[in-house]
Amino acid sequence: MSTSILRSTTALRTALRTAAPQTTKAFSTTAPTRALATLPDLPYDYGALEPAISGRIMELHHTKHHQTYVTNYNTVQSQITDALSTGNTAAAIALQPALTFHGGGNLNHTLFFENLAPKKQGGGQPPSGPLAKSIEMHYGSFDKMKTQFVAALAGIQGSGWAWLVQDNETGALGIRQYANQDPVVGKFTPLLGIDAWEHAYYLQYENRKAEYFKEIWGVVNWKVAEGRMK
Amino acid sequence: MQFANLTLGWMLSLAQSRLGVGPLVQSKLDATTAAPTPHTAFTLPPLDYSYAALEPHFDEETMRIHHTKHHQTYITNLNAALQGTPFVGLHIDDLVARLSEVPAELSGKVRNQGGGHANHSFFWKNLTPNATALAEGSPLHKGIEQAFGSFEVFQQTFEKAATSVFGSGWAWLVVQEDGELKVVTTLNQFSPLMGAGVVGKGVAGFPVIGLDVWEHAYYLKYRNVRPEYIKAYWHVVNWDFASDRYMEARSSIAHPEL
Repeated sequence: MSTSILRSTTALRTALRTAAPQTTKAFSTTAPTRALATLPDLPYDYGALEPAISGRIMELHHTKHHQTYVTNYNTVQSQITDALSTGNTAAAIALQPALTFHGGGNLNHTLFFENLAPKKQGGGQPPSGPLAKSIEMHYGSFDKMKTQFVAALAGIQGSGWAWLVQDNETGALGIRQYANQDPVVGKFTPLLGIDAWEHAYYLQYENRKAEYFKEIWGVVNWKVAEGRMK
Repeated sequence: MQFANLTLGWMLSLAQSRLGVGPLVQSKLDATTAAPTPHTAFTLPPLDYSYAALEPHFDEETMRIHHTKHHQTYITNLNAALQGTPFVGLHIDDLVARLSEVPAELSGKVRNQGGGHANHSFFWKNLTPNATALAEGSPLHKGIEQAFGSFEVFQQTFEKAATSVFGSGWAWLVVQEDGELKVVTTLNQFSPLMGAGVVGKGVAGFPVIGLDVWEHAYYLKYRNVRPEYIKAYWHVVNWDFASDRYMEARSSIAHPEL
């Protein structure tokens, strides 16, 4: 089980690395290469997160939503690579929103499914190591952090995510809202994310998103979150 | 009572000088604010049809939850935000056109919840179980042909726009200030009625048809397949209502003094 996480994460990192275009001059003779993203396997069965999240939701979320982001990200990669390799800056820039959306969607869902776990694989177990210490330092207690996290989730207008992040410079923890599929990149490292898009809960919770934001904590994988700390 | 009228009168003249909503929306506002109902909270407007009436295109369960839960929640939150303010009693379309007058600490809430109420109120009227094709000789059909080349191209444009909303939002056919028809999209609960200052000149306008592409509008039946939901929409569009909206918009532009 754990090797498949490692394999898919490594594959993802490789894909991201090799997708970065090499543009040392305006019309590079080394055409940017691209690596196709693939849908990472889940480290648990679709039904394993019940009753917090139904198997029906997990299957749709993984095989339809996440798969679509992967497929479309690969398409956008192709289009951007073509644009860059023909020196069409305008076209490449025009594709930025699509890259953010589909690439971000792929990143977000990969991290999300990794930071969930069935109870018998440690889901819901509060952190105990350096992450626990950091949470206490920045929020006073684990429960206080959770309260802020839930408030951040509840406050999202439309579609988006809330993340526990780490500041890359200071190491400080923070809770941030990200709209649509905007990923956590740049200044912050994503530690733990919760999908607040309606598709993440609608078939089970309908409009009762406060319930979903309460129940999800029972299947959160804090060990994985801690492993993401720098 | 006197104070409320004074306040509303002040707001109206402020709107005329500052908002720049254009003669189109402004004349609509003048008409609807002529006789305000003071201190009346917003209420959920009933549908003109049963929850099951739009089957098989829009399923009963979605219609019920969409109306009684989602739309109701926008209204409940909006009323809570506006309690004790002079904005209570405005028509919802007036309120969303006057967002710049709402105090800063309330404006986000009013935009989201008020936009939600305005958009959904429009949406229910935009749908009908007795949909008939838009008559080819009708002013709206002619207007669409003029703006898009053909009705089919308009539909493709609308479908592409509705599919391409990256997140939650709406797709609209609007009449712009210059009388031209345009397909636009808004994110979350922004409305073209909010005016250029809020949504930009390219998006502002008077909605003729609109489609909710938030996942709650289609997920129970269509799951992630938004394009299928968009195709189904054409079966339930109330083109009579749309034609009325178009004529209203066109006559406001032709006769701004009315």
